[in-house]
Amino acid sequence: MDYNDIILLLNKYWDGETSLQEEKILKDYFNSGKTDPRLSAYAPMFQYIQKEQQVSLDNDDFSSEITNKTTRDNVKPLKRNQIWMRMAAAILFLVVGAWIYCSLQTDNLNNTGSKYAVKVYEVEDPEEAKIIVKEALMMVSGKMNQGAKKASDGINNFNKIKNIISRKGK
Amino acid sequence: MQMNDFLYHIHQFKDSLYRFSLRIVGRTDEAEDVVQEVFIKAWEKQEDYSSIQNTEAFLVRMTKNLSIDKLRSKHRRAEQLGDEVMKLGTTATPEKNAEVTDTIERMEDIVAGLPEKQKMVFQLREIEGKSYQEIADCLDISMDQVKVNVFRARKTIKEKLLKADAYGL
Repeated sequence: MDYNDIILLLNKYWDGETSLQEEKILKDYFNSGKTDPRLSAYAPMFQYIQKEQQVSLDNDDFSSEITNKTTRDNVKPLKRNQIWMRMAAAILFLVVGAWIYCSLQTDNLNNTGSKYAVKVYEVEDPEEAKIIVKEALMMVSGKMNQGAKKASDGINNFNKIKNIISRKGK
Repeated sequence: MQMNDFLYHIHQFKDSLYRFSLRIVGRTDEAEDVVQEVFIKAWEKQEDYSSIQNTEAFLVRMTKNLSIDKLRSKHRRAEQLGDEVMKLGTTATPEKNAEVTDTIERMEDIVAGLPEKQKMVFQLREIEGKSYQEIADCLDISMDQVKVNVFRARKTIKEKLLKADAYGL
């Protein structure tokens, strides 16, 4: 391209009207080493652009560093329903285990007449039986709620501390 | 998606994101930190990432936001590019090296002095070769705003280059 063609392109360029292809023509021209002296004032811009395009992130360990960071930070806090399900499963396990244990103890007492026998009430009235069972269940429920709340509070505090440590570490 | 597949997919954007961040934060170590953070966040948001139509624009926007946050949190202005521009060809003479270095440094000063938005538009258009529409998507601005910023950035650069040339700098 001759001087006049370059001037036309340059004027379009300064007005922001050139296409990417036309801008490439200008870049190639000003980096060819054959710039018309009358246009030398503009050469630094296109030489700078070409130099900048060669800048790259030179870190061979870049990918492995990302992998390490995502693996280390991959311990996510449990969702609330997961926490409750696990707590419910644990409590159910304890209750069932305690019930079985008590059942066995009662059977043993009844069979052996141990001095550690617990008074066993024989209820004949169904309504009375209902009331006793209801009260027993409410007592167990109350104890379970206390335990669940304490466990929940403990987990919430743990998560808060973990978040603080994570933020400080960045 | 496995980590290796993910890294392979977005690895193509690593250098352009790095250059873009470097334009804003002005420090190579901080630009590298930003790009790492972008990749980690993109990995953590896999479900969102996979549904994004314009991945590159998504990554550029994240890079822009994280770079600006980093800049503001440290209360620093963007500095000149440092060691990266000193890697010159071994066949160049010392005098030629000095002349090119001065030229590069002069352009660095000029570009560093541009307003933030013009700097970003300059980077995406001149260095990364993005179309005006792509730049608008990346920076979440209108096409008209892109054109205005391109025009103003080039006008400023032209005036300063002519002034430097007139004074024989």
